[in-house]
Amino acid sequence: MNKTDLLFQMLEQPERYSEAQWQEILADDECRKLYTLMAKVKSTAPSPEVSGETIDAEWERLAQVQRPRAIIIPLWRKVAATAAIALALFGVSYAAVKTGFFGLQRQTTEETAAVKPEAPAVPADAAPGAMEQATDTLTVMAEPRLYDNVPLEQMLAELATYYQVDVEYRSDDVRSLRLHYEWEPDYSLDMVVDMLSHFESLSISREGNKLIVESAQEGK
Amino acid sequence: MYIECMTERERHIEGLFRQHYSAMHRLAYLLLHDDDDSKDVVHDVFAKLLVEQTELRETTVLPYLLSCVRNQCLNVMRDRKLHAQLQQYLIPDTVAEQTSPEELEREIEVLSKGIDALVPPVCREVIRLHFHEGVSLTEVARRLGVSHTTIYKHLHSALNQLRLTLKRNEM
Repeated sequence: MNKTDLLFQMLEQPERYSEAQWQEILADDECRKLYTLMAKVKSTAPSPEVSGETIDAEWERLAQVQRPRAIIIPLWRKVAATAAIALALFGVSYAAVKTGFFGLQRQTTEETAAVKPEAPAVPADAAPGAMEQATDTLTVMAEPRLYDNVPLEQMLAELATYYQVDVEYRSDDVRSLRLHYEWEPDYSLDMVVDMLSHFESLSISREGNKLIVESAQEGK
Repeated sequence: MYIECMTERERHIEGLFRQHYSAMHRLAYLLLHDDDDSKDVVHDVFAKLLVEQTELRETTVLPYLLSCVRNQCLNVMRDRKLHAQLQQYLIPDTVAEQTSPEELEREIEVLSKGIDALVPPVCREVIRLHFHEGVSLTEVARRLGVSHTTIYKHLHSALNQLRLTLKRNEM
């Protein structure tokens, strides 16, 4: 069998040949050029039509991921700002009434009570995390996270919720792997997978909306 | 104030998304040969845009977006194990990196015309079944009622003709 026929045969079932065998055949100039040409021929296949509905659905998918982060942090600030304004108004109202700005010389207890602002949903002096803690994991994850010696299963459970993906474990032993990982909300899912793939004992990949996790031995 | 600013930028990005989605998806599909992967690439490019504050000028936005798509596709390719790349007939990343989106589109167009002009017709059929419909060469041989060796011969002839077509078009 000549080398190009061998290439065709190998491409029928690439997984049956080792990486070393592939490196060897693709090291040949003729075979490498032939494979590249075949790859470009594959690109001539008609691409799927992209309809208006597809674009709508894809925008919505994107907006779903972005929306929580865009809303939660400013909303905390908005509540704090509203509370601050309300308190300031209370101070102004009280002073105005007391000094007779509204033409009143005295105020009754009911009038005093009437100018008090409504209590904000979150006290103005609440800790920054108070609002986030009142909501679900998605909003808690709007801040960078440091996973220090945390079991992989726990970490991936949180990340899966944030990125709205499923996790499939093909090896049970990796669930209890303890990792040190610094996560930023700006990371895309592919970036996270890429970073976690650098752990020697772990093989992690993405198939659509699912993360496939197994020990590095089985992943090869 | 923060919410109003974010919404305005988000509206701008949405406009770009709707205007350029097809072109971006097409480039990703040329490189990755998979609809879901292509959608994910476009998704990831815009997800990053929504986070970053990159200035987007109307005159250069499409080339910029296509460049982002190509780079993201390269990331996807490099993350794939070798066997997965070969199964999908992914263009080698070193080649994809050196080819601009416009050059790639031109090359694919020349190849498409070259496929239509292949002789004898059985060569066209082999290319169509295997590369466009994903039929294995074993199954192509069975459907056409010929041996494996004959199919390899037709495939070789088709690829030679296409190589010459590209050469004639200086590609």
